[in-house]
Amino acid sequence: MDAAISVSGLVKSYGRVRALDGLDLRVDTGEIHGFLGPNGAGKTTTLRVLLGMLRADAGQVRLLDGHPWRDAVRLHRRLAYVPGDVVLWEELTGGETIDLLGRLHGRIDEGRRAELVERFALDPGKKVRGYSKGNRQKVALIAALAARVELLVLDEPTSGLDPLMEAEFRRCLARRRDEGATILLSSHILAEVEALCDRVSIIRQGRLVESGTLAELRHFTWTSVTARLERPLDRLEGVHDLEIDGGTLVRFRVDSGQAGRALVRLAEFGLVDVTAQPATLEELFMRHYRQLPEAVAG
Amino acid sequence: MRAGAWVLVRFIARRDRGLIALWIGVAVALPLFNAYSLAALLPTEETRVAFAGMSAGNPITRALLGPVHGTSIESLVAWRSGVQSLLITGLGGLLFAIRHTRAEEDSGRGELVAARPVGRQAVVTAVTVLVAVVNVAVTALLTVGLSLGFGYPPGGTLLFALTVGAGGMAFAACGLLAAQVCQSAALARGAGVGVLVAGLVPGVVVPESWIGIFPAGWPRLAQAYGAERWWVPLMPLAFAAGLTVAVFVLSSRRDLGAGVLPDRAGFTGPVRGRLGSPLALVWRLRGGQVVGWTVALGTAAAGVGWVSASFELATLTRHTLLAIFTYVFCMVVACLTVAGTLRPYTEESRGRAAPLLAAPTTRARWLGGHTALSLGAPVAMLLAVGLGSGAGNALGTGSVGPLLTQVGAALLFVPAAWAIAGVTIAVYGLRPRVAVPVAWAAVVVSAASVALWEAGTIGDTAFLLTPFGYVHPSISSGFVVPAAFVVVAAALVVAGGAGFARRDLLA
Repeated sequence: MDAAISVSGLVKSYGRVRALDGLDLRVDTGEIHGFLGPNGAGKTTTLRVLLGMLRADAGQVRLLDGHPWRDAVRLHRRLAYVPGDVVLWEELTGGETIDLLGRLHGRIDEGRRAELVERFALDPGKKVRGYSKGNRQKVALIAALAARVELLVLDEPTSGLDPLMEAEFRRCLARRRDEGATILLSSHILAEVEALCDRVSIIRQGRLVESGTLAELRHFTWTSVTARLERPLDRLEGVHDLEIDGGTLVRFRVDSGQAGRALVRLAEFGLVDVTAQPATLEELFMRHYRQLPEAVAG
Repeated sequence: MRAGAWVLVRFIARRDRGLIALWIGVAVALPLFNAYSLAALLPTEETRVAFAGMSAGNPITRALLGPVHGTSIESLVAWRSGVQSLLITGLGGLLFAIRHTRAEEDSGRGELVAARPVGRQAVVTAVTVLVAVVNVAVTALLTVGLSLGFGYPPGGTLLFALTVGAGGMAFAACGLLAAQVCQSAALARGAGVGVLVAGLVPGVVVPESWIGIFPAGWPRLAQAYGAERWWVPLMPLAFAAGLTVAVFVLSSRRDLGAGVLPDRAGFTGPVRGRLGSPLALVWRLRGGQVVGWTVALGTAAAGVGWVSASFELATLTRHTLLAIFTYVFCMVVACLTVAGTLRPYTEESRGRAAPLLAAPTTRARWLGGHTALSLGAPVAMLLAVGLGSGAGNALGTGSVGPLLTQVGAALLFVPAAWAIAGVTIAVYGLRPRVAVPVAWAAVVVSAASVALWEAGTIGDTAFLLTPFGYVHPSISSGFVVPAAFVVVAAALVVAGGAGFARRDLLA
């Protein structure tokens, strides 16, 4: 499949701070790609490099079929962006702001714009000064979603939206994907990522630490098993954190892909009852987000 | 690289239509006003000859405006309006340029625009186009107004207007360059205004034959209604073109939000001192600026004091030179006082006051902390001006006398500065939405009344009611007027505090 975005070995420093330290990233055409990482991992810097606002110090960056810095104007016609921190012109109304951003873009679908204003329940006649955080966010979202583009770059786009609007946003995004658009979504909301994203990339300290589908990521994790047995068990190989309660009630974690062997062994002790739970997304991301002791030392 | 510039031109023109109208209006009105008032004041050739002689003998005006080239009414109007007009078109262009470039980047709106198919030079191009349109309008309106309204010769009028318009372009280009180089809008404004002041007042220290290389020399060199040197407006235009090329080069190379000077490494250790009180926070937020300006003013004043010690140019003695500069420093301190005193408005309107006021901090304590610094800062700055100029002069002349005189002269302005701060605090407390325009308008009106008084349009009594009145080098008032300003300032501060305690917080 074609890559809409391909980044390799990207380095960007601010003074002595190395914000991106050899980052790799690949987003395929037509997918919704989740872009995750703890605060300060370099997500926004990456997006700004992709948008040609920052110049990379080293590494290769390819966006659609061009170079993000040199072909910025040409590429920007084919993409839309919602920044993480939406600041608007206080003295303009929401409608005027959408108009201005639309005219600057040049490829706005007026029908879709009207529909989005309706769906997001935005009052476009009010001055931005009087908008809440969520309403400002809606203005930027509508301006981006109404553009006829093949790539959407969204930096934590749902911050400030209420659950109703968040659901609306998910529907809009799914529809854009079905129409063939590629979406790069930086987000902290795991439910959103799980519901929308085909693949995710997790970065930490300016480097990619994991990339793949959620199923693939789960593959590297574990399953928590609780089982009740007929006959007491004293030991079990190949599992973690084994707890034996009165000999017949056992709890343990087993690496993904290794559950079968453990269950066969349990069956020998007369398996009465078993519940198995895959690692939750929270557990998964916590593991990737948390700084490893050696990383701190290094 | 310039895609989207046209949309931006229309957007900025609409967004700032009021400011642009004001900018053009003031730039056109000032020479017309001078034409009107000087014609009323000097109806005959004899009065004009007398006025020219008097002006040539007045070292202050001579130094700032240059020699009078003719005694026709139009020559006198052009002579008096030249530097004033450059100040207005220059300041307008400079602030406009920074407002739409660096200030937009600072706010984060620049990112919203840069993500659209908008060239890296689109914003700079749009601003240049609008500044050019404004200056062409000023030039055309001035030419039409003076030649049709007052019957001045069209040729000389056009030259005068062209010099003003081209000068405006040059300073706007300075603003654009400052916005590219400096990392923040505040820094860019400071640098830009510094260049403007340096460009317009060197007549006081630079000999007449060299003045042409400074903007202040452009109107003198052009000599509208006199020798009429038509190549002079080309100087500012060439200067503007050169700077604009540099701006285009910079804007196509730098990262969004970055300056040319590299970032300073962030301070990573624990916060110095303890931010245990609102006053401590106010000091942390504003103290650096106050100290910086105090040091800068003191240093500049020391330089002026030292240079003026050995200064003797025609009728311009060292005493008058020192007096003019002390007066100019007082005006600078007045502007800095307004800018600093408006800080609580910025804090509140950006939502940074609310978290403090939601904590067990009373409104009175919060505003009190800001007010303490707003009133203390001008005292420190004026003391620095007095000590600097006095010490510099004492070093140059070898006598200690000037030190005390200068400290006294500078500190005499404290009541006036407090009154200006008082007006700002009062408007902020009572009508916060108009605080910024009203506070600045107060300073502009006060500064304009200096010109009005010098032109004889307003009398001594009216002039003494303004903050710049009683400290004017040509006025010696007793201690009643400064004492009255202290009382007025106190009343205004109390009124502002009372208003702030009662009103809703800004959203």
